[in-house]
Amino acid sequence: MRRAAIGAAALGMVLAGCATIKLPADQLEKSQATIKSAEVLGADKTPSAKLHLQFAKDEQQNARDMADRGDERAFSMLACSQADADLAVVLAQEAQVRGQAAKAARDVSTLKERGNRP
Amino acid sequence: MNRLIIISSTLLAAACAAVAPNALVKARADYDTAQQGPAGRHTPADLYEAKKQLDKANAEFETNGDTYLTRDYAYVASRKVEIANAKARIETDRQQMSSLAAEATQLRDQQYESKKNELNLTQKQLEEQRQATALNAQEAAAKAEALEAERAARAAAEDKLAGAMKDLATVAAVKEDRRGVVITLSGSVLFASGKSQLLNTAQTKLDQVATTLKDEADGQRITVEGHTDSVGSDVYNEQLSLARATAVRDYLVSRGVKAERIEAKGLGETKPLVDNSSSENRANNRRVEIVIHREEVPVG
Repeated sequence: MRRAAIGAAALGMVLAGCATIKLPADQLEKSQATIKSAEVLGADKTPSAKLHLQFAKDEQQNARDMADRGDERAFSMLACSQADADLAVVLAQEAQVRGQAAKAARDVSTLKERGNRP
Repeated sequence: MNRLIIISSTLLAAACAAVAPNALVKARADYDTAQQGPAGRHTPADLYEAKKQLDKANAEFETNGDTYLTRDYAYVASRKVEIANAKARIETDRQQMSSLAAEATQLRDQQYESKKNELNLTQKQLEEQRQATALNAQEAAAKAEALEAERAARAAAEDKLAGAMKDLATVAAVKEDRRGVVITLSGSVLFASGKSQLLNTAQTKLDQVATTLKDEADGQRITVEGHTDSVGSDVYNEQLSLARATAVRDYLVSRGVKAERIEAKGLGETKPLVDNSSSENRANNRRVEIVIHREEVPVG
């Protein structure tokens, strides 16, 4: 009886150790899509965006690894990945807009110079 | 029992007073700063998303202390604050771009107007030049035409005069010198010796001269000069030559030559054609010269 109890406990521990968590597919897809968007927007060409893009990728991988290990933190880690991916997208957009604003300023400057020519 | 309650309360207070993790402290500070900055004005909705995450982090911390959930919620809250800040900066940049675009449009419009005015002015100047050139060409053509007409008229007049002079040459000697055209009539043809009254035969010749003067020399000054030979005194010859010149002048006036154009002069023997050594020469010196001067008599 005692032997049976010990065996059951060991099996339980083994089963518990091998239990995996299934991350929500829609959240994983959304995180993946956001990372892709950031890359398309040129996040890897902007230092700040590039940093958060890398964070997002690492966190997503961590989330997957945690889920495989049955670590409940996988859910919040995926949320962190989503937040970094979102931030990478916005920072890439900011770089684009900033570039456009600089060009607009140069255009105005050129027009003023042209206007001042005799 | 009381002792147990005191110990429990102390432990609870110690738990509540646990130090918040750095992630949460940072998230709170980030949020507070963002609220006071541009994100508070431009991206309140994004900031609200951050606030919800921060609330979750605070709640987790208050309930369970420094857990991974506290830190992860705080981490996400900080990222959302950063997102709100970045979006606010984008909004500011877009506003600046909008303002720059408006300024650029205004500058382009001004430059377009300026160029347009410049172009209009150039076109106007070109048109004025074109008109001036056309006018000059027109004037030049008119002047050339007038000159040609004048030349033709002069040629015709000269031809006509030449014809008239040719006709006149049948009754008198016609020559041209520096004064103009000189019609020379022999004294013996016009007057009896020592007289100043015109012979009848002279009148026929003078009629032809009068016709020529009226037709061909209308407007030009005419002088009738009387000349004698050297026979007789100077005074006598001068008086005779003047009387003869006057007789010719008066006759020509009576035939229609304008009196104000014609004058008579008695030059006596002072300007002989040839020396007075022979009777033939003296006959040649006795003459009346009608000089048609080159210049015209001023009108009025």
